[in-house]
Amino acid sequence: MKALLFSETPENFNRLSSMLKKLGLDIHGISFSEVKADYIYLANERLDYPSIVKAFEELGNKLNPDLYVFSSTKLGKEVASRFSQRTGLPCLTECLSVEIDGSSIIATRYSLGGKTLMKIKTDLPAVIAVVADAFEIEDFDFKMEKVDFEIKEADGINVISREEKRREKVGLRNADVVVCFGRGVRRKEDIELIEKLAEKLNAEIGCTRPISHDYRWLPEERMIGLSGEKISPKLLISIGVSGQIQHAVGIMNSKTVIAINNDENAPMKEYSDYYVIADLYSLIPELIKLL
Amino acid sequence: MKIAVCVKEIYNLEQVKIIRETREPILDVPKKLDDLSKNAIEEALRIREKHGGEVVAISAGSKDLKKTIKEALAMGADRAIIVSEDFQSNAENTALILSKILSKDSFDLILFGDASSDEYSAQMAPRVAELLRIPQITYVREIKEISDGKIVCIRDMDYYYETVESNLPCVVSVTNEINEPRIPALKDILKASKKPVDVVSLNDLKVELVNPYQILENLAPEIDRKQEVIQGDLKEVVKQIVEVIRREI
Repeated sequence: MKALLFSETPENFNRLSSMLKKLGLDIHGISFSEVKADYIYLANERLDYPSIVKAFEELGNKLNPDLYVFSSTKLGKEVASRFSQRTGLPCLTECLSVEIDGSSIIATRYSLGGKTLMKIKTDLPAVIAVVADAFEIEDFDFKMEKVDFEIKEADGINVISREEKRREKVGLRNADVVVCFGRGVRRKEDIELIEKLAEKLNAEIGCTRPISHDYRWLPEERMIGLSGEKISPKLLISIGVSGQIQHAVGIMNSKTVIAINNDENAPMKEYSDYYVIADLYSLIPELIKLL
Repeated sequence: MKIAVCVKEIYNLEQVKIIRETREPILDVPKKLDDLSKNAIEEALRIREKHGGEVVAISAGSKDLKKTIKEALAMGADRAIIVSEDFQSNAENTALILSKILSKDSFDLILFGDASSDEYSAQMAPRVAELLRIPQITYVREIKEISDGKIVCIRDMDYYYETVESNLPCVVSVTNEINEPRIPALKDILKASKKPVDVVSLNDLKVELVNPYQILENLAPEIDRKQEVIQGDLKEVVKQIVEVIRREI
């Protein structure tokens, strides 16, 4: 069986090619840089959906892959969806795992806002967008044959400018201790308190979506949740976090969770091993003193 | 400007409980307009305030939608066109239904939420754009300008921001950071029930529904937390937390 893979970053590409190799697929991949695949279509960088959809149509017609694979980034999802609609192939996005079952695939993805995990089956050929972070890069023997490939410009939208997001290297995913805070922290200046605690514990700092995306107090890469980082520390200390399900999805794999909240019935309680009912502003300074 | 906003009704997820033994969700809860749909409605209303025109809410959903769609009308949409009957719900079918409704009229701009808070699959805007053979600008954080039959938007992507221009008509999906959706006042809610809602049937639309997906299971992951409550005297509480911390790291 054959997969046609595209990802805009080599890291996501390699995670997904490892995942696909494990399933026993031959991997043809379009990439802007050197990556691991059996057949690498080294292409000029184009990030507009019309051109990538067109390139997939062109290569798809030539190769007849069983599986069309994208990383489940925003670009990946928009290209997957449009390509799927154009070709009439079924499409699943935000896939967390994929297995082949005869002439079908079975994928898992979150459903009901992360309350449930859905296992869903569809016939091949199919289009999938897979959360690359769910997979490790492994050492496989890829054929590594390189082919020059041109992604031709296709009509649709006109990209006027592009500004890279400055991404801080954040070690949230591999951290042993994480201190995460939410809207219970009332002012930007109060983050200092969180930082002091994190320093004492040698912890990485994470936050909920409003903190990074609405208030912009922390960079987006510190956001923990369905659309952000998924963490698996030995210890998570969660401060002033209400525990919306979209956030909770990101902390499920933590070993021990201590939550500090002044609301005795916040949803966060359900996701905590220790649920501390207290005012964070009186508690955290005392906690710092004792550590 | 004639603006269509495609909106989605979802279960009120906060009220969805899980059966402890089987881990199945109990879906016998009220439905509501998805928050991301509200961002799309809000943006449409702001464009109408600036450029004039009409805002039409469009949706395909269950029998409850007749009630749910009033949330969009209360916010300020002028009217609604809906399919409100039970059908096999999947991205293909909904995209087909929406595009059939949309193609009966000529809209300058078609707005969506960038995904829905329940399934988060983010397929709808690109699918509808493809069916209508018009461009899409997804994940829009800011609409910069609409003039001379063109729209300029700033997209918020994973690794970059992108300023993109497209001719109208065009499909635009918005992120939840684009605005703060208004909360309708009581008088707006009362007014909403007088606004026209055109209920069209799948028969009228002549859509051929498909069902390429088989859901094998949909269960809650096991949450196995102790949920031990610590409260009371601050000094005692702090001491207990320190003990836990020392034990765990």
